[in-house]
Amino acid sequence: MNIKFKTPFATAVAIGVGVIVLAGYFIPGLISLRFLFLRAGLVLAAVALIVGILNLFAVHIRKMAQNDDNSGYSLILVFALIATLLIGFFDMFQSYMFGQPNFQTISWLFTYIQLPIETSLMAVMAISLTYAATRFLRRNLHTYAVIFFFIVLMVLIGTLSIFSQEVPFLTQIRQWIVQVPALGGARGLLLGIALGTIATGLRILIGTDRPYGG
Amino acid sequence: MAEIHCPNCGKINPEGKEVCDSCGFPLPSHTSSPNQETPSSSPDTPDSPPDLPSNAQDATTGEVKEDIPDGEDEGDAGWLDVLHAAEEGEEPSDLQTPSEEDEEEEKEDTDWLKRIRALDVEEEKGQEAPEGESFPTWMSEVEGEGKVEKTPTEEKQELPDWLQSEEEAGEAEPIVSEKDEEETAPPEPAQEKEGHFPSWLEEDEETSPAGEGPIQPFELDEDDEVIDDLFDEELPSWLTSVDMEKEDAETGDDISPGELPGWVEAMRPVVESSDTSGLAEDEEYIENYGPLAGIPSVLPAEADIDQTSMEEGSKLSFELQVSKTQKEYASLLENVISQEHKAKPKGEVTSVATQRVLRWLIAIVLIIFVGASVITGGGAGPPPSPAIHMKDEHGPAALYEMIDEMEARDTALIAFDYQPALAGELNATASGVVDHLLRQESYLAFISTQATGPSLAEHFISNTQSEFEYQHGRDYINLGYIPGQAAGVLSFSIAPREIVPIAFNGANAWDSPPLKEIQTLSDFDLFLIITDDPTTARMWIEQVNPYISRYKVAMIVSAQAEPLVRPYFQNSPQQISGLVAGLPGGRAYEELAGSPNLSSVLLFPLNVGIIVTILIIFIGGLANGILNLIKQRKNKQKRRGS
Repeated sequence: MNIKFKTPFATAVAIGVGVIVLAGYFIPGLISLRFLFLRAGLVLAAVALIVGILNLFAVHIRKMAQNDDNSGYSLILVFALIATLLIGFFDMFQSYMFGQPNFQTISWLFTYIQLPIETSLMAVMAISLTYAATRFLRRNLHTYAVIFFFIVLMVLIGTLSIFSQEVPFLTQIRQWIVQVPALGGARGLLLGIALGTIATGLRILIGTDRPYGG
Repeated sequence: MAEIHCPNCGKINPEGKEVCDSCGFPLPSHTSSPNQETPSSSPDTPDSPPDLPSNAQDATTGEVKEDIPDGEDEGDAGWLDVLHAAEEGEEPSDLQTPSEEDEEEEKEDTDWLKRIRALDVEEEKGQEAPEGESFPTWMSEVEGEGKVEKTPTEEKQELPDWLQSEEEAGEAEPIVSEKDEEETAPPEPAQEKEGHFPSWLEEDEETSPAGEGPIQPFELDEDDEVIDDLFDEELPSWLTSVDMEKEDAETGDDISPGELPGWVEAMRPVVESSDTSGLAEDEEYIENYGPLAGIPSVLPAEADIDQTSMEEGSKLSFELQVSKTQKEYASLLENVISQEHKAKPKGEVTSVATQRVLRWLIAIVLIIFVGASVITGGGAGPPPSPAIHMKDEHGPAALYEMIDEMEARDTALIAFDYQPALAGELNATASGVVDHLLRQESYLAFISTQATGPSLAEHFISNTQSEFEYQHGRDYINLGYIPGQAAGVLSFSIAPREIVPIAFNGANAWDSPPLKEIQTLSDFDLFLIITDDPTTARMWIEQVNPYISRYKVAMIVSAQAEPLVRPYFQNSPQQISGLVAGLPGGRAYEELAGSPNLSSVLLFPLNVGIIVTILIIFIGGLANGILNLIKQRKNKQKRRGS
């Protein structure tokens, strides 16, 4: 049976669940019902994660079959995925069945493969940002670019703790920049985010915005 | 006179002819009585044309029909008879009671039209009219003039006195001019009521020179064809002449297009203006030329159109009027469009090599200086944190107080929600805080909304806090990963036992010593969130705050997330009660706790790295800025040269 959820049925379910969850904040009798929906949402999110992994796997299998220049990367990804999954199942079996320490093999993979790789990428980003800062005035030489350039230098100097006691005003300048202009901008962003969240929630509740389709 | 004018066609017939040679119309007889009275009005006189019926004359006057006696309706010449009587000293017929003789005389005088009509009827019947009865006596007299030559004196004697006076005046001055024709065209029969002359006659008398006698109203001429035309079957000569004039006008031989009739010229205003230009706006323009000459308030043509400007306008070219800047923009656009189909030249290979070398140079410099600082460990000891010298930097101190107030076996929930890439910074920042918790002999519980969170927690506790030899399930518990982002956090906040029933190792998490007494989120003594993402921080604050006291919530964030997280700490009331941001914050906390940890160790290499970075950016930025200036000047010089 082919059920099309892009129908008013899907919209009605989404709006009904949203209204109940929202009402659960104000009506004590609806807390249990709200929690039921939330738990169902968590299960759906976990299932969606599994579906996503399967989709990723299928996509890269197809890429391997195409035999193009990038098919080697797909092979590495598929191999890593299968290996990590097997190691995880193995660790879970040992932990759950024999009471072994927590996922030691998986922790080893994380500590010695994933963590150094991501940390190295962050270090490369630091170098790239430094290089970009040096080249910044090469392409943009106007008033705002010069102001931006010297503000970056002032914040970096204020971050230094070596001269914080000898030259305290450098730290004060950095604190002022962070807590006045940057904080003002951050508060504005937060207000905008809050308003946007309310607007999005209302649009979904009244059915104007239907990210689930229909 | 040996000729007879045909009353019908006006042709001249020799004497003795009874019928017109041209039209066959019976010619009049010559046996008119010399004593017969001259008609009171001449038919060719414009004042009172005899061929017009009386009602037509009334229409021209428009007012006097009721003043005219009813008996005179049939003959328009009756008013002339009245004038005749007045000339002879008699009372006007309409003022006096008319006697029978007078009526008969009037009938005699005015029945000539009836006879003409009867003549016409007979003519239609093809019968010949009797001689001597076909025309009125005055016409017979006119025809008789052709036969009998009379001296002017005799003619005067035959004319009535008033006509004689008019004739005398006409000798001194032309009787009828064009203007007088217009002014004196309609007679004024209303004047007859009082026995006076019509107004046109009175005016004529007034305009005539004094002492010159009466003006002849008309003078019959032998060659006058008007009378003959009246009885001609063909078109009258005057109409024929009009037709000829019309043809001339159509051909344009005699009349120029700009000429106007005299009566139109006479109607023009007399005002004239010699100045046709330079009129003010409120002045009325008076046309001097053409058909509208003399008429004010007409639209001026020549006044506003300067001939020179017209000539200049005709010389104007049709080139687009554009400024220099617009020309430049247009040429720029043209160049851009023309180069669209051209292949873009590849960048200079030398510059790519220079960039790559510069990158490697920067990387090598940073690695050398930071590595050396890590290896040496800062020499004279870790530098102090700049945060503790700031008056408002009390986030680490607030968190320190919160942890310091905890008792042994109190439970702290720690959320490991940061990316492994930032583990170096956040592990070092949080190490001092977690170390303080462990020294307080607190139970620890780890949770995360990221898939790598549980592994990060295990890595943290096994690497940074290895000295405490904490064991899973006994001293701490790893609750694993919560899916669903905000929904998972909310669910966990509402019912943590139901959302995370088992621990990371598959054991029952809530039966372990750390969580035995925990039923809800508010049962935790401290909730510490470690994150590098402001969005994650906001999610936790928003979802957790209703279910746990804000005095139990604190955060450890990276330096880059500090500006967006600090408002939650500086708000009033606060949404988080403690905040440690970056390595300086961690260093400050370690100073407060009195136990230097990773932040103290890594702060010196961080300072070295920042100093080197500042120098690189400053020097490189200045160099590139100068190069850019030089390039811009060269480009300007090239533009000027080109």
